Amino acid sequence: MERFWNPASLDEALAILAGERDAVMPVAGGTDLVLRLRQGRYAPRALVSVRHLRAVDDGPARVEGATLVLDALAPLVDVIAAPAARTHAPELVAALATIGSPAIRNVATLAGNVANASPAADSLPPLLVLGAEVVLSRRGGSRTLPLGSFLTGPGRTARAADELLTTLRVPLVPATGRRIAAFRKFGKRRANIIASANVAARLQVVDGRLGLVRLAAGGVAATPRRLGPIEAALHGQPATADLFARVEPATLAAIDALIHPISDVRGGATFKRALVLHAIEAICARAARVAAGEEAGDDA
Amino acid sequence: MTHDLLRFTVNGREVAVDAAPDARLLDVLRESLGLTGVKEGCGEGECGACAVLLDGRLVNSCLLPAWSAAGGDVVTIEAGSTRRDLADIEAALAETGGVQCGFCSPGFVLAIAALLDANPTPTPAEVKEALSGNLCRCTGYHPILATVERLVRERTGGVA
Amino acid sequence: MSVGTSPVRVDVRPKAAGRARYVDDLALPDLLHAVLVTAPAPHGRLLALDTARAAAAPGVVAVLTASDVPGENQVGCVFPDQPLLVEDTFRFVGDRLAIVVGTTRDAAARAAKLVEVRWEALPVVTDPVAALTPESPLAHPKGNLIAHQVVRKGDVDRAFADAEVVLEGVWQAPYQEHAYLETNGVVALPGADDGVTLHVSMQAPWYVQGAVARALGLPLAAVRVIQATTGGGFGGKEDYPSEPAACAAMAARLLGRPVKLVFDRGEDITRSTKRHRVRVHLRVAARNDGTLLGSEATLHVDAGAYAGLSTVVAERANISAVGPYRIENARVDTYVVRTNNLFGGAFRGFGHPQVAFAFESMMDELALRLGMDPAELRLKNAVGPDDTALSGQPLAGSGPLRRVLEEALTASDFQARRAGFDALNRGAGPVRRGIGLGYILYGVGLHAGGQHIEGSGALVQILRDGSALVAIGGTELGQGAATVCAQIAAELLAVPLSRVRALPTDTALLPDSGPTVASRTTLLSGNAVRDAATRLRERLLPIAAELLGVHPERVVSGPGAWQDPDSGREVSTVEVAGLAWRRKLKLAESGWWAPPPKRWDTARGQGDAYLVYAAAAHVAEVEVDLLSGETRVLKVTAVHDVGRALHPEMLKGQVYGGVAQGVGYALMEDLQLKDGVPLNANFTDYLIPTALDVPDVQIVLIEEPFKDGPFGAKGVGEPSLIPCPAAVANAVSHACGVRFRELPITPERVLTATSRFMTS
Repeated sequence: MERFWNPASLDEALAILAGERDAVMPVAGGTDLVLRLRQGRYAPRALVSVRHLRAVDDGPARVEGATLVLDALAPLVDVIAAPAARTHAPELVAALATIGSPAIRNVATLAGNVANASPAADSLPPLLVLGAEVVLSRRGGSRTLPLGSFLTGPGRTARAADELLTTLRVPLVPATGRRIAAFRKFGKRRANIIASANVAARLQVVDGRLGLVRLAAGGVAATPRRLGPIEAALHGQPATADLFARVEPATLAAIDALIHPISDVRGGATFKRALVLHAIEAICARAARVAAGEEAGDDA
Repeated sequence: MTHDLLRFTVNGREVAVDAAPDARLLDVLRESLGLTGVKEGCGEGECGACAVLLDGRLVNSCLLPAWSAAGGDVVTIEAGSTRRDLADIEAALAETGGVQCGFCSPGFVLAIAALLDANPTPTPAEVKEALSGNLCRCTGYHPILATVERLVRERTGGVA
Repeated sequence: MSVGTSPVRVDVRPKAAGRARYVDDLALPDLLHAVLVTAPAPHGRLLALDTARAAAAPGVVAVLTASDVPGENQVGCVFPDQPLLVEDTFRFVGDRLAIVVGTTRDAAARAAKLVEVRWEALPVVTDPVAALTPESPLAHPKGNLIAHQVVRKGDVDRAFADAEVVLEGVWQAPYQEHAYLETNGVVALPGADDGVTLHVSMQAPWYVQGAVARALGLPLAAVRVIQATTGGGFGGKEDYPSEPAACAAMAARLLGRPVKLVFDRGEDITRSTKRHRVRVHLRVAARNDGTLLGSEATLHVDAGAYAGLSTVVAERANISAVGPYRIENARVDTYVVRTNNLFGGAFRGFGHPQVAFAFESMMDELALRLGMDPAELRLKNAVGPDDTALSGQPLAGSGPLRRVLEEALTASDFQARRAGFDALNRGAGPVRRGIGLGYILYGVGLHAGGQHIEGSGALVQILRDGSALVAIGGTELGQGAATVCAQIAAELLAVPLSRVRALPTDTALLPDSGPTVASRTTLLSGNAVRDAATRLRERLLPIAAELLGVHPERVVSGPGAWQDPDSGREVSTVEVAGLAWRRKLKLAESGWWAPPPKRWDTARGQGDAYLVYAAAAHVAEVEVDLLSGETRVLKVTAVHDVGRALHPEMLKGQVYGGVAQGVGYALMEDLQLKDGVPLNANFTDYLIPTALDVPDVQIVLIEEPFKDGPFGAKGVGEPSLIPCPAAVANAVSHACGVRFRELPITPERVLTATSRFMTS
């Protein structure tokens, strides 16, 4: 490697990316990238650090009209603490709190976690159920993509070499009924793990039935994804104790077209599939308890 | 090819080091600056033995590009000779059975310092969470958790 | 009094301050760095090794191979079956092909990738049972069977014929990686003569001395080995460090400069020794009332390609295979088998955790079959002081036996909790609770088969200002050996602990004291210190008596002073030592302690296997989430027969640490191999417990002084771990209502056994 750039501003960083194109990689916290560089996975000519830069002036999370805007360059610890994130994206905050360890969360960023696009990345299932869009900035402009389109394969995204992921935009959903915003990460110990599988859910229980239903699973396919057909099966259903039993046939029928887990050191394919199914089962049970008033929702 | 020296502050002292673009902060601290209290336990950011404070926050120096610390304020375990808060933590760890082989200890001292700076009265669950990125293979963690309890008691004068 | 109190350890302040220097912290002028090139596959014939490009790389000083070994190219710890550097065949992924030496580690590491290896594949032997069939390819030219060890006691066939119930099963205990925070490392310095001095992170200085002397063709006296501050061992630094040490020493000797060799984590996990994988096939014969009549065990110990210490580990597994129970009729066959898998070696417990998991599991299954409470079944069969161990060795003098079990059951409220969980688990929810027991009888010190090394020395000095120096043959790994020995010296010499200094273990100071293993250090090194310090005390006491003006028999000692209790007068240690010095008394003594020889019949596995036994019992409470398969260990109650706790807090530290390692082994430490290649040789995917994973631990120490131990102490380094995996596994099995016979009980194994989605 020949050079490590420390640009003083976002414009300067984008200018460097524009000039060097494929020869330079952006680095934020470095907690994924540094490892890959040492393993010889990449050999860029230079790195451009964005660790000190911010895309949003007044804090890592703020509401602009009907949109929650997240600064993808802010360290995860700051996003986790941001009131707007905690209020409007609790499933994302829960997920970010499971990434790595405190030391990692002090420098790691959403930009890194999302642009790295690991199939097991914990930020992705929550961002998918939130309907997030990524904003890619380049010298002279930016473009916005739905997250689902941004993720193109395991470790692959639609980011061009001269682009930087700067913000994430989450359309706010009007609150009706009781909200469930949950994230579950599965692994072999209680901290600092790469997920065997992870699942995020955003549900609304309205008059005893499921209104909004959004489910996403990670670690079980080339990219994390929404479970559309299962969402459809759940939508409108009464949130009672037999909810999962009623949708289980449809769920089982749909699941294998949606997820394609592979067997690796984090678990066998059948196991990962079972985790996703049990997660859906648990979410249904939770919805029933919330509907029955036995448990509070994750209301704002 | 000429390039600038990497400048930052370490333990209150300004330094200027000749560092390769792909050097890790860990390498610069240990090899260029002789700060061997910062340990390499795994090289993957999993064990926390390399932990330092960067601008007041705990980071794993094995994963941080050295040049990313340019202009920053780094605190290593060696600051214990001038910083009372670190010295107190070291003493408490040593006295409460929190040190056996000692290889993880510098990382834990800094993690405890970072925790108590941000949260002077943590609950047991918060303590475990804050220390969850520091691995210890000898103590089984209990004596280290007891150390933090003792420090909190001392600092709050017994009112937790 | 120092002994029996918990003063601040003698070594910990510099460690907490980051001032302690471990191997990689050592800086020397002209230091070179060595990196090893290891085998490209688990088994292959080396056709050509081309080191030219590597040798010509920037910063490289030399590339050394087998032909450069000055002495004997042999490093086998017990049997001479293992080359230091491969000559023609590599037999596991950690086998060494070349040593690349450079001015920086980076330069050497880059050059190591330039070493060209031409090789042809040989069949990879991976299954120890299959390896013993005639059709199996050979993992090693000496054949796949290293040893067959037995226990033959009573009439097993008759016992099974008379049995009212017979239970049979196979348990699989996996590898465990030590995961000491400090990887293996060594610095070797060539002397001006032909000798060499090494600073090593290690547990067995005299093993290293022997290995280096052999590889360099030197007399032992020319090799000096000094303990570096060592960041954990747990058995992983017993025999293994001899290998990188011999490499570094060879390089230092040939190049005339100091050489440092330190492994990174991936190298360390791949190359160094592991807890053995053991397959345990058990058959148990009993009466309907729960009386055990007989037991049969067949163990397959996967040694890897080289014998290393595997026969010694197997010896302990062999004699511990059927638990702390009265069994008159037993047949144990332990096969130590070569494969091309990873290198099996010592790890805290040394074969016992694996067999304890199996047999304690079997006991629970037997209880289930008989409709008996698992605690009752154990109480019924537990050995007492009038009984003998499996080896036939009488247990009188081995302290509390049943009492350890009884205390564990009481302290954990076992039966009530169990009944409560049974009721809870009958409910519909996915969260289950379980409680499990692990009960063991541990033989302290080296097995009779190792008695030719069971002796340990010490050096004790009192100086003219009343301070003291202690050097022991045991090594300080973090477990507190230096402190406990300093306490013994402090106690006997009337010196406050703060004025005692412990020296790093050094082969130049002491005779061969054996390895720091087998929970023997307090016993052996402690007794050696007691030996030396007692002679010094006998020299000081008359001086104190003279200064006090009383008869020597009246004098007692405390920290820093000698007293006449009748008058209350005292004289300081400083004064006594000063006067002893002025009178030119001998103020240094060397100590030695070796237990009397043990009679042992290898053909039948009968005799006095160990110096003494120590019982231990752990009770684990767990919560299992059947939707995720995740287990949380909520609590472990640990009861230990310790003889005497010389430093209670430090001893408890061993228990906390042992429980954490036991929980890890039971639930999450999953070293995965594919055809002899490890898939997760890193801390990202080989998971050890974090602070969030350890249970609450309640410790009960039972002190019945052991007559031959220093101040009555026994040993706890290994018993603190051994019963834990068994207890956790039994608890998870109880919670789930299914029996787990393979560790670790990962979420995947739980779901495989319990989830309807694992079959559809």
